[in-house]
Amino acid sequence: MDYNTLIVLMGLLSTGSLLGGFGALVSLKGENLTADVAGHGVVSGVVVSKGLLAVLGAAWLAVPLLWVCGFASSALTLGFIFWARSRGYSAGAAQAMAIGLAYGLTLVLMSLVQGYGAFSTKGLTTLLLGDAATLSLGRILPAISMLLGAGLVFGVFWRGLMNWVLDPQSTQLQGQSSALALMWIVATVAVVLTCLPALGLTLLVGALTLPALAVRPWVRGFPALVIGSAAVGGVFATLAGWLSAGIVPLPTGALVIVTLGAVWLLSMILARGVSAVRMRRAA
Amino acid sequence: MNALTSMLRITDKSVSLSPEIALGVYGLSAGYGAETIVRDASFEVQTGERLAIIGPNGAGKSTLLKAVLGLIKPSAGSVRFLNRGFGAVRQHVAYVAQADEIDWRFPGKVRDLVAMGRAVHLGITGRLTATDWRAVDRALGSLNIAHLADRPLSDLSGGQRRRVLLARALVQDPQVLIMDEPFQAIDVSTREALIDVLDAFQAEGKTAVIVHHNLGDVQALFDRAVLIDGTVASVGSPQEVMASPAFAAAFGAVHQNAA
Repeated sequence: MDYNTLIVLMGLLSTGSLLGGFGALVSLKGENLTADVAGHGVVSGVVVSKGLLAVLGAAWLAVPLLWVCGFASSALTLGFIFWARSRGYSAGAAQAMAIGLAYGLTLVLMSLVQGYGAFSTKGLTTLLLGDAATLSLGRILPAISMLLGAGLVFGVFWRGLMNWVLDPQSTQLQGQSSALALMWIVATVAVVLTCLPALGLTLLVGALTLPALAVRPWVRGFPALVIGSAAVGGVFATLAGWLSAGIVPLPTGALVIVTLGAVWLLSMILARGVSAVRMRRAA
Repeated sequence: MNALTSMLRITDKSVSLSPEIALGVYGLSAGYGAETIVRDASFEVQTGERLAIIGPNGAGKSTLLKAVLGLIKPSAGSVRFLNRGFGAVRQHVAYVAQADEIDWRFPGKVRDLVAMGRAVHLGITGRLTATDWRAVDRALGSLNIAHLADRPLSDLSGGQRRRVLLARALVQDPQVLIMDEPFQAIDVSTREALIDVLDAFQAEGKTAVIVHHNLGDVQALFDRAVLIDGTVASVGSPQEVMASPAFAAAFGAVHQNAA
């Protein structure tokens, strides 16, 4: 296995695990689309960062600008959802408005930024679909660091996190809700920003959702669901990357999602089969 | 500072657990969005008392409870628990929500849900000690559901869910227990178990405030009642409240005669 393939597979392992584990929490909270909104919010920030970089002309600012602008725009988009909910809009309507406005704003900003020659339609395609095949060590380090950090945080705080996901109202009564809600927004934006280079915006939600759905019928505990989803996300994203590198000449990101979709389908069919057998035996 | 205090679990040790007034609600107004559901509600609950909050559907009973606990922000008024604000005594106040406010498909065991009640006493990591687990086992035993400890939440019946939620509140070891319709849609044995636990709770001089729907047993189960009909329409003994003109206006004369 050559160096580049190894880097891509390591990137997919860390990205898939991070999205799988975080996706388990997102799914339990019923907030899969909120992560999508955060992704759409990030893209407009990325475009702004490219524009600022073209104006400032300081190449060393590329990564800090990307993170700052991505975080700010995504947080603003999530803030818009909270504001819309507080005005009485349903969760679905608030999310749909936020996605539509964020994407529309991205296209407008991109038209402006393209005037500086700082951003091409290829740049947008990469943001939307990802570019796992060109991952470098510098681009996968954030995902690896975040996976290790997330693992540590989960290991220490998993029970408090479980309480908050299971019954946010009870956690609010215990006085922890505000801090956890803030940490949740930061974590959502950070995960989206970290995983965008590999999978892109349109594929990211699939990688968040499918591992948890595949694992859910086979586990009965919260830690098992989160760890199992992280394992399934990481292993099958790596497998898809390996297939894409040699056996199946298809885009890596798309193959990751198709592979995870197949795992979910197989899991669902098997779970129904096992359940039917159990019921027959019980009868 | 308040957020830091609550995160670090700094609690006010000077709180007296036996003041005369366990709960005081003064001029409380609350609702959702621009709509006010409960207006200018005022009443007090004595320590050791069991108080029923009654009222017709949509009168604002659950809204009142949520505003009292700060789960929705009151538009006016104040609330005092044990002579303090809720933030200073939150470890002494437990809330039993309606059973449908929990996602029972969550991948967890009964023991995990009941252990949540200890969280308010724990450090920032929420790690439970052997003492905490013993308290969980005691709470499960007091409601005759020790055998359900390792059962998945998704396998529970409606009555078992009520018992589990009450066990979670009891494991907190509260001085004031706030419950939202705990007797709704349960079988006779669950009802008996809940009443036994509430009797034992009150025997320890502790206070319970319960939203109650069944007007037929208010007199048997409660020391006093508050009638809510958009505001506090009547307060007193169950007999006094059910004989009041406000009760007849809220429920109609048929209910009043039946009661």
